[in-house]
Amino acid sequence: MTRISRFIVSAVLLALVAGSAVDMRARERWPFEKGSELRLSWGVLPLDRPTLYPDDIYGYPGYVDDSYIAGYLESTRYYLGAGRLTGAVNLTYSYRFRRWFELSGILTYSGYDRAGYDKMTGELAFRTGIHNVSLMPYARFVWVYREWVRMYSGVGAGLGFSTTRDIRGTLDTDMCLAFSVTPVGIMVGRDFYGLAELSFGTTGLLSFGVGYRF
Amino acid sequence: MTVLAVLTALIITVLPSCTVDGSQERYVDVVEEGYKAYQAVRSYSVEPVIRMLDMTLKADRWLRSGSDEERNAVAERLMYADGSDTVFHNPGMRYIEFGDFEIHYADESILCPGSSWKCTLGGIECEIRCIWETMWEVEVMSGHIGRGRNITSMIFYAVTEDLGLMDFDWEEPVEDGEGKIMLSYLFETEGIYTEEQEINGSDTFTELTFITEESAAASVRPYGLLPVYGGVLSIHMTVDGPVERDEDIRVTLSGSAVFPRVIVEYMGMKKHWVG
Repeated sequence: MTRISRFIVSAVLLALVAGSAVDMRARERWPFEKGSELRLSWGVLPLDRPTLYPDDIYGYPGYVDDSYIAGYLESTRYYLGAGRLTGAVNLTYSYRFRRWFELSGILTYSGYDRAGYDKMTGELAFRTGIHNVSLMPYARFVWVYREWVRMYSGVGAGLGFSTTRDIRGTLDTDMCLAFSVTPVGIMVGRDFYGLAELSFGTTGLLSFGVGYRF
Repeated sequence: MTVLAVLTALIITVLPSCTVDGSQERYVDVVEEGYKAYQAVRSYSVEPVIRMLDMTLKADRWLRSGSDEERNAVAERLMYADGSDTVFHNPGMRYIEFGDFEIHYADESILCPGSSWKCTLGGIECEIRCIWETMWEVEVMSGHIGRGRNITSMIFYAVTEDLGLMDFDWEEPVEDGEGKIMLSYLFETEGIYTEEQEINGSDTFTELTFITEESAAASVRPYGLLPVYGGVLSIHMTVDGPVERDEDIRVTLSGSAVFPRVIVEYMGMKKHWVG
């Protein structure tokens, strides 16, 4: 199944759940309660270093002339295994100030991992990877507030910190901007809820997750 | 139910989506190490020596020319000169220079058994001795190719049945670029070729000891790689450096001058290449 079709199936599932969960009588205003929320979500295609620059694991190699036999043996000594992206794993704490306004803090992790193996033995020779952690305050504006369904938009910006270990074991660190702009998100549920969100930024293009209100 | 649906969506989307780059394992080719060793022997040992023998025989034909017109035809059709090449001849020093070749000749033709000439190509110097009318022995006296590459020692025996091609009708006109005459040789050889290379601050040393188990053939052409076909070549490779090797390589050469095939046996595996 292609990645696009998986997304479509997931979106359809969520839409069905949202449709079945909406209480048509709840089009009247649902009482607002101040309080906190905890959310855990996973986002695909975050705009960050592991996703955009996975080739950073090659670092800055010195030139090895592989027209010589020893140079050829050195340059073909290892092969790389499969490269894997984690996507953005987001942990969010929110506080509901108003019916229409929530303030959040989002902690995000995203990583790219790839191992190197000895050509002759197949044994693990080294690990490379790019890991990104970011923290940002985030403002959420809720424009549909019902008992079971809430819809919102949001914006946030903060700082990210990334580390890269290349194929030679060299470690590099970098600071970067973390941000997220959410045109639309939906939460379905009461105390426990599921969520789906379309965003541009560090939290991922399309996110899915669960949350708890208290 | 809500949470279950979301978790299902998560699982469908997340788990199969993680791998973004495929493993390179399917591109690993161990036998190619043996092929690289064969290429080094062919390119830096066999090919220059055959070309030196070939050019020496052709220089002999050039010296036997009776006129400038005949010399020009020999240079163009046998020695593959184009309009810009010149054969420098110094009779007083018995010396001919053509391109990168330098040939020091004797009173006797190199086609006479017992005659001995010298040829130099780059840093390689050979003594060429006529064994009988169509067979020569070539001994590498100095094999400093340069940039860490050396022929430590090499002896080479070749025969050809194409000497008659050199007595062509030089007065017959040919189109520009046409009419090149190519000679083929059957040869046996043994020798030692070495490479020294620095990799990331470490010195490496590679030694290839080679010998023909069965006679091989080669055809000297004015362009492209020297095609070597037929025969069997054994190579022992030792490499000292960040990656070490001490392996035997067996190379079976088949096919033809137009379509040579190389079958390499290395570390218990076998694979073939073209050329």
